[in-house]
Amino acid sequence: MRITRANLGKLVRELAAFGSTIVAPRSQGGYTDFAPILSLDDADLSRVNTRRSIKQFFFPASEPILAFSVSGKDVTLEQADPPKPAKTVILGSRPCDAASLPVMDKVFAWDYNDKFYLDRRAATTVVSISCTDCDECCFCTGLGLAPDSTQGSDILLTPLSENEYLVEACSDKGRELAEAHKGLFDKGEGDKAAACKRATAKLPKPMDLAKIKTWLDAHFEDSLWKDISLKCLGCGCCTFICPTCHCFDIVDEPSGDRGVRRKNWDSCQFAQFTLHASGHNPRADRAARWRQRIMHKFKYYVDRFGPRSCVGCGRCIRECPVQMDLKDQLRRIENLQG
Amino acid sequence: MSDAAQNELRARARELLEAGRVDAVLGYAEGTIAGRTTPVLARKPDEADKLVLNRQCVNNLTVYLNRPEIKKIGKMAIVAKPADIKAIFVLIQENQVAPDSVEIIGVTTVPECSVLPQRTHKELLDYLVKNVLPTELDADDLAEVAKLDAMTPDQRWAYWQEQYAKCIRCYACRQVCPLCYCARCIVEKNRPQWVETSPHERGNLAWNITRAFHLAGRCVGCGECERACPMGIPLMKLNRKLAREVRDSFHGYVAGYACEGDPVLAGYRPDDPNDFFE
Amino acid sequence: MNDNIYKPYLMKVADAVDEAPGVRTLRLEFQDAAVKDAFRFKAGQFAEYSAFGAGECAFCIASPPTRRGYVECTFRKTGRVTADLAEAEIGDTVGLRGPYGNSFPIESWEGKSLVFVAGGIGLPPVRCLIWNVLDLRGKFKNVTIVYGAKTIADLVYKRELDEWRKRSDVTFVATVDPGGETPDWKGQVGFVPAVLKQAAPPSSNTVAIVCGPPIMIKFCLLTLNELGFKPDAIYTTMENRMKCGLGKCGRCNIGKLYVCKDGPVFTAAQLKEMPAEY
Repeated sequence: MRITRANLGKLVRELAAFGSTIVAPRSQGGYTDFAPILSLDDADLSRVNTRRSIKQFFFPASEPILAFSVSGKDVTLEQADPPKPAKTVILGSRPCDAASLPVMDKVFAWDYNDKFYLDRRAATTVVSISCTDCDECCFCTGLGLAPDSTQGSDILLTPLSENEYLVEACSDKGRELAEAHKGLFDKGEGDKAAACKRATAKLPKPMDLAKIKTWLDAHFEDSLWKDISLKCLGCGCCTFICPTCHCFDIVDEPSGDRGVRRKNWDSCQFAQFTLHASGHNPRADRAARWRQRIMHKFKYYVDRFGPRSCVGCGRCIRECPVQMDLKDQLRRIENLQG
Repeated sequence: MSDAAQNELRARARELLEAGRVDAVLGYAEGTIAGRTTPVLARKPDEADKLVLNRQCVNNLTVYLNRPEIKKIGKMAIVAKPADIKAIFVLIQENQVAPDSVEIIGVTTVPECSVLPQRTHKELLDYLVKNVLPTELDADDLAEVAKLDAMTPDQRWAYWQEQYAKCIRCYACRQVCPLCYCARCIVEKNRPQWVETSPHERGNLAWNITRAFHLAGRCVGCGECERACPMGIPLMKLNRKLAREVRDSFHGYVAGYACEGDPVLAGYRPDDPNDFFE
Repeated sequence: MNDNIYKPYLMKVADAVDEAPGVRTLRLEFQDAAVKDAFRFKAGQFAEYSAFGAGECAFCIASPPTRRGYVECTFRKTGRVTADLAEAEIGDTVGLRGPYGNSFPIESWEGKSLVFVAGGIGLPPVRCLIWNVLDLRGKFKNVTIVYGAKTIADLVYKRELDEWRKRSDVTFVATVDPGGETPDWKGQVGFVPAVLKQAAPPSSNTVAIVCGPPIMIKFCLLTLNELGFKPDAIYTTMENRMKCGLGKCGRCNIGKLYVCKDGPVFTAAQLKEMPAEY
């Protein structure tokens, strides 16, 4: 299938008219991030990627999970049902971000179904756009993904020219959307590889994830951890803008005799993340906390859910104030394994 | 031109390491991403060649001086730009860094790269006082602050609400700041919970304003917080405003130009102006 | 069907006992009759208890699953939530989410002898199991309990210790650390691992369950090893800082194992494989 840019614009209007909220990358100054659009012209689809990932649409930075009011010895729970999310279309996510969704799905549906997350997933259609370019921080190919990967997307658009996209419906939801607006789509094929070749030429070669995992399996204690984490400042920047980091905190915010319990993003990089009330901290230093990040992404998650949880979007490298470079560290580990 | 300065820097570092005057040199190295540098520790004389000096040397490395992992290494030499040098002096003033535990290799990167000839703390202090205007009180930047001053309180509140709504509470601003060295930050205390940890408007306003106030009279204007912020919040605007207020309210005090005496908001003089409260 | 996995059951505080300095037991009854009838759990599982306004805290369920209709928890007043729970009065409302985690494989122990070793506030998770076993006494061979605390005042469940001592189908040894006894103390004086060694329960066809401060567990494991217990016949229950209790918030993992999902009950064999991150 194909769609012209003009018809994509019409699709945006039709989806809005049918009641969907559409979010797409928008730029202000040097800053590009997802925001609601009413017209395709409001979107900036030219950037390599947005500042934040699409994680915020399924697992927001802060959300209330219940409210309570206290009266004497009694407590009444209010707003204790997950809210019904608005129908949303994410337009212009990159294949790396889309690939983060199957990763997160496994966690939020592991034995207990987190409906706050899952209902949003059900109500959201992900229309990604393949990457025709990349920057030095991108490394999706290093992990077996690609600038035109369909993983996690409901529809993948690949720009064939300034005015036309190749369309792939990658899921039932995607097929339903294409069917519901079929007048806007044309028949036709397209050369994905050619469209993405500039990105593909610059992106790194695949790393041997199995080798990396073998090293991680055997090197919980290793001088490497102190070495690579020495310059880390211990902020939560990488974990918060990462599409697959999902650690959270649950806090009560009382106000008089009422209160709200919220689920907030939290980071294993914060010094007090694992601090016991007794004062004991199993991860008392920076090296232990950095090790947790690498281990979780490339071993613990893999042990339990496979195949890998990082998607190579490169945001952690792009935004890190001291230029911690995850892909460089992975290559180092790969070389250590020999 | 900058190659000469870079070579001079490397020579200085090598000299210090060879003579055993320091255990390590904290400086900048070529990053793995083109166009970026990254903090590096040179521990052996031949590692001095890892050091670079160019306009991409933006980090304020002073932030590492308070880290236990770095302190354990021993006496440090640190490559420091003027704002970074000021941060070191504030840390000395606040008894966080022992004066003889750090050797400062003063450098500039704007308008040109150079290695400062001044070597002792006293010489560097004199240099700062004579040559370095406080960056946080730069005329152009203060013009931006003046724009905010010209707004009504409601407009200003709305402006900051909009800016801080973007905050995701990653605390990159706090972690890059050399003057944010509390072992347990106020947001990490929960009995009582002074500042809500949730990244909603209320929590974000409380956090960002509290941090700005905790830095009043201490911020040296290095701008790292604003650079580190992944959400593009203009953090320095409020820091500049508060620096200006402190200067105008407390005998022209500006942070970083002395390493002795009480920090401005940690001391009291009988002749402190009190015309701003009635 | 509870659509919201983070929503707690509402409980009423039916009884509160101050067990030891800073240690309290609350007996909680379900406010909803249907939940009261349907609630089931297994020995070893834990729950997240809410002090509404302060937050949630994870403790084991300290009452046995064989006693229906109520749940007990025993905790030490240490932080914000436990401070609130320490002030709870009879009739107050507390939340409970659970049960979570794995449990002691009690069915596989039928026909075996059991040795329970606990120290201080490590007794609550074991006490749940002890009563579970005593309520089904006929299914097990010999039952030995070794329990100790720093001082007599620190012994928890004091009334129940007397009950266990009086039973003819239980070998019960209580001890306090040297210096923790009073003149009328009739139990042992000595650290738990030493008292365990002296009691020397035979290891054949026996399972040992150990819980207490890390140092006590460490030495008890050595003693049990000397007595001939194999690592997969020794059970313990771990704790770590928890939030969600159900495997999503990423906080409680020790290596690849989540204490809230793969634990809190682990064998000594599993402990050996875990990285030293607890």
